[in-house]
Amino acid sequence: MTRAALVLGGGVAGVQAALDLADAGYLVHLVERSPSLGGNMIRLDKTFPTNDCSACILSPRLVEAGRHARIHLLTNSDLVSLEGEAGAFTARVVERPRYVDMAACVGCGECSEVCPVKVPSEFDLGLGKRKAIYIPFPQAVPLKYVIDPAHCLKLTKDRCGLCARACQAGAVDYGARPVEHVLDVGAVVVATGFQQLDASRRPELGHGRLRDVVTGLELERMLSASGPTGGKVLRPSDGKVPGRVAFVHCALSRDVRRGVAHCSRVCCMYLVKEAMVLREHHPGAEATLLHMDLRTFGKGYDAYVDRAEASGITLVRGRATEVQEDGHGGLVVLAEDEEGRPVRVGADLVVLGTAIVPAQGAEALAGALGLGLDAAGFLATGPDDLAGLRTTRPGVLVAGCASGPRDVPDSVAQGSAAAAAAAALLRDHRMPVPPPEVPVTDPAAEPRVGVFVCHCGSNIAGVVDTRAVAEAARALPGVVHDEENVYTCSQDAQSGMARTIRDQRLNRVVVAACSPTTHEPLFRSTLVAAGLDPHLLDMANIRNQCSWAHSREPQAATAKAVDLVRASVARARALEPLGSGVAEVTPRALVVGGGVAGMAAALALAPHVEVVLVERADRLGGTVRLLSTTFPDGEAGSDIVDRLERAVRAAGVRVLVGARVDALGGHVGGFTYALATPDGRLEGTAGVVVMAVGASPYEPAKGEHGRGHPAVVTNLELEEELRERPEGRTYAFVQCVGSRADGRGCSRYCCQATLQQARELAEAGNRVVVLHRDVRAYAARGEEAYRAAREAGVLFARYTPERPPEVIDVGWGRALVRWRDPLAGRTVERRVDRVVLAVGLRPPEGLAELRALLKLPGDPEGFLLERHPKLGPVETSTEGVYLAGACQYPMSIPEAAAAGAAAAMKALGPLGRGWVPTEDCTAEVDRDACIGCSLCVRLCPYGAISKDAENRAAVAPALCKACGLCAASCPVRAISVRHFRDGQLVAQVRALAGGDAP
Amino acid sequence: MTEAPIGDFPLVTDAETDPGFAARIRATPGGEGILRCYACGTCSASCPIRAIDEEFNPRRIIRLALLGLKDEVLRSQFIWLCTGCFICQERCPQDVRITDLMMALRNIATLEGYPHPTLQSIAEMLEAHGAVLETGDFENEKRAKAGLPPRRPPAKPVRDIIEGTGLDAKLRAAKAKTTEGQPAGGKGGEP
Amino acid sequence: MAQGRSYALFLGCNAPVRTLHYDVATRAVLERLGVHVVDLDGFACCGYPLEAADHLTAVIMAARNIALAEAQGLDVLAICSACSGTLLRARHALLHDERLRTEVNAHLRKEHLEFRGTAEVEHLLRFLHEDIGTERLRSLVTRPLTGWRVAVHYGCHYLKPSEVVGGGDDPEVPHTVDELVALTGATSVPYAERQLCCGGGVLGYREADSHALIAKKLDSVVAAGADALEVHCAFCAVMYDGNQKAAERAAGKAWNVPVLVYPQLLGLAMGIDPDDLGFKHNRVRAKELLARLEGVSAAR
Repeated sequence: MTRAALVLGGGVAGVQAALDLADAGYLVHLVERSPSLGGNMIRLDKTFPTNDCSACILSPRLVEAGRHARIHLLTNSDLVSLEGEAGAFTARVVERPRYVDMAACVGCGECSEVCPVKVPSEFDLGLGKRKAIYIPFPQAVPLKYVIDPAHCLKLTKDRCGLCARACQAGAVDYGARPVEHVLDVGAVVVATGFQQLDASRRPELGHGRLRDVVTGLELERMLSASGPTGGKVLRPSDGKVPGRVAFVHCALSRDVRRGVAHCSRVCCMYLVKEAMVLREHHPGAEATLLHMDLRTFGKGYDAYVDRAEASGITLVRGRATEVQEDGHGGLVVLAEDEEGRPVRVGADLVVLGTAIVPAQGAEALAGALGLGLDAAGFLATGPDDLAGLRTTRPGVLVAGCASGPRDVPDSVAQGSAAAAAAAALLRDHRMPVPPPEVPVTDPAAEPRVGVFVCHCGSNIAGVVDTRAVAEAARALPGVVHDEENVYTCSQDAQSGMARTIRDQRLNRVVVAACSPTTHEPLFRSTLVAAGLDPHLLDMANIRNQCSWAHSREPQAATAKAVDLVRASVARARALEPLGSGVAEVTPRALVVGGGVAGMAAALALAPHVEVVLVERADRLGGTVRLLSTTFPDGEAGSDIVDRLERAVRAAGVRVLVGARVDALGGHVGGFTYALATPDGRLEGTAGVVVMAVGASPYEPAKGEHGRGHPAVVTNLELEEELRERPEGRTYAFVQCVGSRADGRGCSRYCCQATLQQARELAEAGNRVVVLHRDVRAYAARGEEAYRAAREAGVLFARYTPERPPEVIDVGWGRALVRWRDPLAGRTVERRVDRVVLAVGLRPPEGLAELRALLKLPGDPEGFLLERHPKLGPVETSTEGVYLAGACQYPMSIPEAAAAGAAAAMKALGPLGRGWVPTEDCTAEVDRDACIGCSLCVRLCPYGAISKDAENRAAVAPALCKACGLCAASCPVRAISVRHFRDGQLVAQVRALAGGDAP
Repeated sequence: MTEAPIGDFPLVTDAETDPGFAARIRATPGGEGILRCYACGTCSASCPIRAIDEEFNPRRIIRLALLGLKDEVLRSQFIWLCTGCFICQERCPQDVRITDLMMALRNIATLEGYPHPTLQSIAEMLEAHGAVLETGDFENEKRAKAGLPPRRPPAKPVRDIIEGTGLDAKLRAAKAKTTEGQPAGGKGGEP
Repeated sequence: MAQGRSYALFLGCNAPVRTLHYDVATRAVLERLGVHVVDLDGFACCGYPLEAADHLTAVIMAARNIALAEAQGLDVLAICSACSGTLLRARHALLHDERLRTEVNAHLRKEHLEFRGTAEVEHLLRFLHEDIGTERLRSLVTRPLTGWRVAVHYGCHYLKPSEVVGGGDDPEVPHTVDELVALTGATSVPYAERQLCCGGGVLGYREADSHALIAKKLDSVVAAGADALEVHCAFCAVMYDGNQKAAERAAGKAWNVPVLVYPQLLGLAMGIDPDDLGFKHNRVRAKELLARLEGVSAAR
């Protein structure tokens, strides 16, 4: 009997966990309480820091989860009980009736049209309405209608019944009953997300009383093109566009009296994002943000805020205290700024960043499943659980906001990490996953092109006349079918496309929509589902490169869209089927770096494959080993890493310390490595590589904040002193040394680390002042630690980079620290025994060389670049190479442990399956034309081309990344890139220029 | 050896601060929450006195206290300006209990010899009449005319209490200092 | 607090001398309601003015008053919010801090008194709203004050600190007194400075600030078109009624807003004669307002 995993919650974390497990060969029951997957993230318009459209990056995942062969989707369902123990649970899931037969429903919407009942839409947070029979939002997965039994006239009063009559598919079933599913489950991942705290708990801010005060999520619904206002931000009171908008940070977080004590972690970033996006929608609108500590700690976040400020949003440092009516239909937000001056911000709309709290019903669920909760009501993570993924009940894991506020990248990493823990419990139940069969399409058949023009809600259709584009396309040679879709990426449009391809015997598909980077893989898999080779698809970008870029010129945009589609059709006709290959994956993982992240990765991989862990220092543990005290419990770093090391060795991981990576090459499935170990050179192959090489503390320059003076130490050096338990001394901490300046971002660990050290010192009877730029106590228990530090007597004073604190020598090994205190109106001097510089983290020495071995890109700071900042935090753009921990970006110990496990889970995809699909669009040499000049060999950045025995260029397909440099440079045009052949590109250009391709 | 201070503000050195002041406040009834403050400005932005009198800024007062500027705080006029409305106390996100804290600062000032003269007048009235307003024959005649029963708050138990806690002695000592030309807290006002 | 108990009426320092109308109207209304009150001679100042001098002294003074009532088996009914606030805060502190209670009782022992915490302390309006109830009160209204636009001044000590005195009102959006006013037939008008303190607490320390606060309040009340300001605190009455003229002089303007204590409103609505509600003691005359009563029959 095959046991499955059960993932409870279909938001971004849950979907990630489900997909990772399913891709690796495990069966997953994905249980979601609402009628659709998507959680809170699908409500968002744009996501920071890339300002990607949320639905665009998330909905392919939702669609994939909806149709994955190994994911059993149970929406509108509740987990009511969980008996048994880790590895062998019995889960009872009750699927509430939709009153709509999912097999029959085609999502046409006729039922909803005729339904007479309108109620506030939960998805739109009450800002819009839905019918009693409805779909929560247009990209819902599954895209099936559902009846709300509390408001349906038939179900409550036995009247009406119009929907059943309107439904041509006979899908309405008023007599439907709940269905109980009894499931054999080995592990459970709880990913039930969050809700926003009722903002009327601070009535003086006006939510619920003053109509033009909304929450951040409510604003997201307004900003969304598919939302209740069609993407326009309108004042609820009079429907006008606001000229001035005020954004309130910390509306209910960090408030022990009427809100929640914790920091909600994501609001600083999302409010800045909303201000930027709102001004994109409504240029000329004024945006003012009233904030406390600005907690924009993540990768790229500070730079994002700088861009936002440069774009014209105003930041005011002062907690918004009250929202009053100005007597003329507008509002005024009151606060006091850092200098002690009153602040009055006039606004036509006020947006509150209210607190993140456990989802509705979280307490009852925890009770039903026997899970412990923390003081704030979030799921408590068990003892000895470094990554914070295990609940208090063995076998039940947690990911995402269910255990505390988290942003999307951290939720995604946790989803993967929790999946890894689940995979360990389900080791014996992994199913073999055979490579997919790619349909064979006859390359000689006459092209029959289908053109699908997308509206993308109003993103495209609001500017471009899509009907005209479709009609123009129909007139093109080769085009036998044209249609328009509101959202081509939605589930129903995809199934419709597959059907159309079969029915109309299409063998070329043109999708005129967004960017290929958004949805090309989705459309390609639809082609496969329809029986076509996936490479017979071309996309015309009539959104990012057309309707978005030319939003104020609809006629010109339409003409351009017609041109782009013409070019696309011409190329499509010239496309050829390429088939699909697979490469075998060696069942071994190479983990480079034996710190927390590396060890966590090794531990998560060990139950499944052979793991080689290589560490260049002579001990495992990285920088954490040096810490005598860690946040939040003061545990010694050495204890933490010793524990991990014992587990790693007990799991049978091959540990090599004092070892360097001398050579590293190859490709996913077959990386080749050579290690220089104390016992000699060791060579081998690995299917995957996990980079976990950590980060190095910044060494301040001489004179920087007094560095060089005997009293000045770094926070790492302070660790030694802390072991001696000093008393009666005076300390001054200086934060952000080597961070947040000169193109460097926040180092993320230091505020929490300083809070730990400062509090310990203060409690031992020392006098402490912390000079900071923001107190970024964002982590779980961070705010609690900040408060405890203050209660212990630690003084906090803010400085700006323009006026940093001064460190002055006063002789006898002592120093004097001076800082500007604008609130007190004083410059304050304090003699100190120690000045502690909280140093930032930099990419470790040797990372650039290591990167070069595998051609891994770095980010502007030199850290490893992740595949996607939101949805791909532990992957690189090189298949088979994963990253974890501080080598991606400074992070805390629990975050590094989660990242390590997440990277392991991603790696278990190819490792579990045993094969990976190979890149098909590789370069190809016409051996007859090749003159053996070797130009391509020298130019290839991936080392994929070599000379064969007959002095002709030969491409190793596994290494080729289809960059095209070779094809562009070959003096005799002997080398071409499949899918980007000259003929195909020329056809495109000619068509664009107005001529017709032959 | 020392250089000019950063920026524009007057310098305050170690010699002018009392490192134990915050702890002292914390140990005084009403002052237990002072260290919790994270200077968000909610109290000041809510304060009705702040809105009409620049001299009173509760957030600034807390900051001065945390910096150890004891003399400046205790001898000031501004600690006597809180009207005791509790709005800051209700809204403070860290439960500093600012209104109670203002009272604690005033208590410490009184103890240290800087009571506001109004307090001295109040204590004198209470010790003489058991109430802050004399309720004697004249007042009781008016009450009788209005059909109300007489009121004569007993002064002795009140005097005993004020003497029993040592408050009376403290106030007298401070008054003596004032009449000798020493500085005292605050300026006069009408009781 | 259950009905059928007896109450000691706590007047405080101001009401017996400066706001006789509050005393008179309270007794008139309580009598109509059949509530028996006792005047305890031993009552003295609640302690509020000494909080600024010494916390312990103030608590002892408050505790003494409560202990006096306890000794007679009575609960305390206070009409001045500053008193009720002070007594409730002291009571709360004494019930939660054993060390404080021991220390306070050591002082009270000299007068053979002991604070036990057995007596309840309630503000008159909390008593009316919670123990009598708006239903019963409405049923006793024979002369509804229809058309009267009344600005309600909740005051500070009636609502805050909310965990001690709050009584079901959120200090940001309170409702109990609006309900009490509405049942008389009058309309409670919204106005911008509803939350504003009367400034009584700073009167003795910087009079000018008090006057500025009075001005802000009365400007707002007038701008809202109110006929009268309702108060239920003797100190607030002293500020808005007693000091209105002084504040007018300081501000160089005239408001002439009648300031009624709640039992006066309730009493009028119950058909009690204005003379029996102490109206001759209101400093700002309510002549025009009372004139509206003339000619209105007392019939239901």
